[in-house]
Amino acid sequence: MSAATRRLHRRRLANGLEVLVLPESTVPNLALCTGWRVGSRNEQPGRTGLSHLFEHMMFNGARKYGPKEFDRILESHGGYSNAWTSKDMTAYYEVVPCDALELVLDLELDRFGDLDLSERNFASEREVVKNERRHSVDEYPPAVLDERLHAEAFTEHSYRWPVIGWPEDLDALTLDAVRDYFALHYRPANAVVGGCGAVQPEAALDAVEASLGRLAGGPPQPPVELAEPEQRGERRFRFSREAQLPLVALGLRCPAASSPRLPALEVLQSVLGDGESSRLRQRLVHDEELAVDVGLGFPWALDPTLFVVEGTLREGVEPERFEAALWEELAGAASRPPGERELRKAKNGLAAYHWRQQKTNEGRADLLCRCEILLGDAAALDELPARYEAVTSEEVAVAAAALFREEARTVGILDPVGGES
Amino acid sequence: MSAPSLQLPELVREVLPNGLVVLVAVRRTVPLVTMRLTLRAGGAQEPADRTGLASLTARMSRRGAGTRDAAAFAEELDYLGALMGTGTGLDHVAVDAELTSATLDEGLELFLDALKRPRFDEEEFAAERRRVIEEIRQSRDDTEELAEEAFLHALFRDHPFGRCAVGSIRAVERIRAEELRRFHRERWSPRGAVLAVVGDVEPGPLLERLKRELGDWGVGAEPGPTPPVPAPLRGRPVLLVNVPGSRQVQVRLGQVGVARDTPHWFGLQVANTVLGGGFTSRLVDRVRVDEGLTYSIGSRFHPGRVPGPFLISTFTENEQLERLHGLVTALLSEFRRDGPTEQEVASARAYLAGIQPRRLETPGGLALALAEAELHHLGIDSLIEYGARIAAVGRFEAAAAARECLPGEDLLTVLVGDAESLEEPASRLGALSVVELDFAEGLAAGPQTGD
Repeated sequence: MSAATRRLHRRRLANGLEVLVLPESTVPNLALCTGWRVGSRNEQPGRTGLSHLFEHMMFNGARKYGPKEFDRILESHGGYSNAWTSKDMTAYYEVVPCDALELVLDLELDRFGDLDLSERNFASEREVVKNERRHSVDEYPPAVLDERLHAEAFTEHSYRWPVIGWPEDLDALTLDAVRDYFALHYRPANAVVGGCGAVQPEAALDAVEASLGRLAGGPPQPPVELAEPEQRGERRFRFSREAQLPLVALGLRCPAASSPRLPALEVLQSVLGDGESSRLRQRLVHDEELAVDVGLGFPWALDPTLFVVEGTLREGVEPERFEAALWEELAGAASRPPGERELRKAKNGLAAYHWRQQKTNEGRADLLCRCEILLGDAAALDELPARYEAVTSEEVAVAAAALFREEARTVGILDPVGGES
Repeated sequence: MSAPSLQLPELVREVLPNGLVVLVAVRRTVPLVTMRLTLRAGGAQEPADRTGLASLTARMSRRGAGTRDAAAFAEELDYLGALMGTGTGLDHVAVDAELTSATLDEGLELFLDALKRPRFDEEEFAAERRRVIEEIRQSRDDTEELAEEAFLHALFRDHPFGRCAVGSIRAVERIRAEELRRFHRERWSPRGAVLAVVGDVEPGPLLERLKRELGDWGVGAEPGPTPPVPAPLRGRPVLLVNVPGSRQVQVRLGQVGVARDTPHWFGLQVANTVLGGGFTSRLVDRVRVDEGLTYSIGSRFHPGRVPGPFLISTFTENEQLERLHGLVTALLSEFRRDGPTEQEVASARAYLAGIQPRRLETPGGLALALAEAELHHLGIDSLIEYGARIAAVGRFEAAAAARECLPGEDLLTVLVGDAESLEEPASRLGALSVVELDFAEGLAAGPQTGD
């Protein structure tokens, strides 16, 4: 089936679970992604990291399939699974031979409905997560800087702490907190199932209904009500640590994914940072040779979020010099809208990226869930290229003017110590 | 139950008079086309004192080619929504492009320019060399990458396998643009090369164009043989690379492994899956799930025309090094001695057969598999026969592969972490050498050997 003629099938089950199926028969397997509308955004101070640690606990046994059984059964049937947690979402997915749909559903029904949370598994998994944190954050300077940037840029909203949690909180988390979290957030009305692969769509919807339709409903999860106050002045921090090269990060307050400005912001991001010929890479990496790398981006988020620009500087480059050139380029985007060819280039790049995310059943299932939860409708999957196409040069300039304001920026600088002398 | 079997798409194969093998396969799931050209121009073909030449030549192929300088080439590539990259290994260099099917003609022009007409402008080359040097510095903040490089260097020493893929700063500084031009002229040749194209294409017209454009491509020099790798290390050498202040230690254990033509290939796929492949492997199960000692652990082989490394990769907090090392070495020697159980073999067979379609699902994945099948003379049918061949592996075959291909008493350990905290526990793991990072020369010091 070609991309142009595919059709999304949808069914809302009586218990509130939303089910989406996209048939695709390139290879004889299927991916099942279950996305939950819960992430570190839903956490409380003192219990940061709970969402991610909980995601790990989902692989440690339930009522029917005990500890280690989930992966054993899946792998011995030719399947593979993984999961991820973000600030706004948690997603679990499996890729299996296409005749194993009912088996996967039975595994999911068991853990989503009857998770077995024991002290022994919890203690061991906490150590795994602490190890993951040391590896992916503490030992990696750009991650340390990014973590601090969010902690400075937000004062109220839960986006201020990292998904993996603060080390002190990880040590303090209890199994009771994990149990409460499961009861509060893992209700079928809080989830979206996205299936993609070599299946008959109606039969697949029936199979999901017969299985996950049995998950008990419950009260809706409490809303996240904390709003971040408007930023009314620049924030700035600087610190030294073991690293090879200086790093500079800028955080700019940016709208939620539901904003009508989203497509223009994505085009702006592409103009500035996608590809070697993008404005920032051409100037800062190639022409002026100030940075070895520069990147920027923002997540699709449920609440107003942070647009982050990060640069790894060349040895000996003063951070102030890099920052000045960077800001000139960013702030200048408001008065220098993309010309016809530059706009076309950004749109072509975004359209190609849109297809690159959909090369696999896993990628499509994942994108289905993210579109449904973060953009509000899985149908966006097929509409995104047209939304990018409609963006005008003026809209890009307007988006830039709203984004790059000195009084709403947070600047972080990491000075290396102990690198090559 | 048995899943529907894997079908390969419509496919054409043609050998051009100059030796280039062209494969074109249709896959219309998304409007993208992957082109993957694999050339016999990897590290094995560069002079010993020019580490990084193969990689720099490949990188420079898209910093200006044909009528476009570096900036114009990059702009056109981005304008088409295309991606192009290069990867340098021991035997081969791969030039990859992912083009949109709507702009295939224009994308192909860039790809062919990079292949046949790179400019190697002096100024652009000097700039690229400065960038590579900064990237070498930057990579030192990535302890995983550092551990991989230190491990390969300790195992293979001056063999091209052991020279860091991007080279040391000193080695890169020695390279001249003229050397790139020569390396390109002699080594970027259709001899032994494979071009695999997969995606939303019309094979007939595309093949005609490729024959027209690549038929006159000069044949260059005969590729030199890949040098034999050094003998396996003896004893239990331990190399510790000092990264002061680190609370976590990167750990690599391993030895010289097998070549791609090993008779144990299929048995080894199953055996390694049981040892450290999937999430239910013994290493993950015992070290991560039971003991919580690490977030990640796995084992793998990198077979080439000559034996590549076998390595176990993991990390843990400094205080747990001895416990982790003791557990891993015990699991390894037990597995080598006894092999997998019947149940483990059955599960690994199903797992390998089940995940194969995932590897062939994307245009890039299928292009890679087609190119590998061609380069190792396995035939395209080997992709279809893979499932049946894996299904035929019994416990005996998997156990024999474990016994013959996994390291025994002679085992190299490489650690990357804070020497002050690790020196004492590390000294109890074997014959310890501690080295400091040297940017200029790379990792010059090797480990002590047992004899």
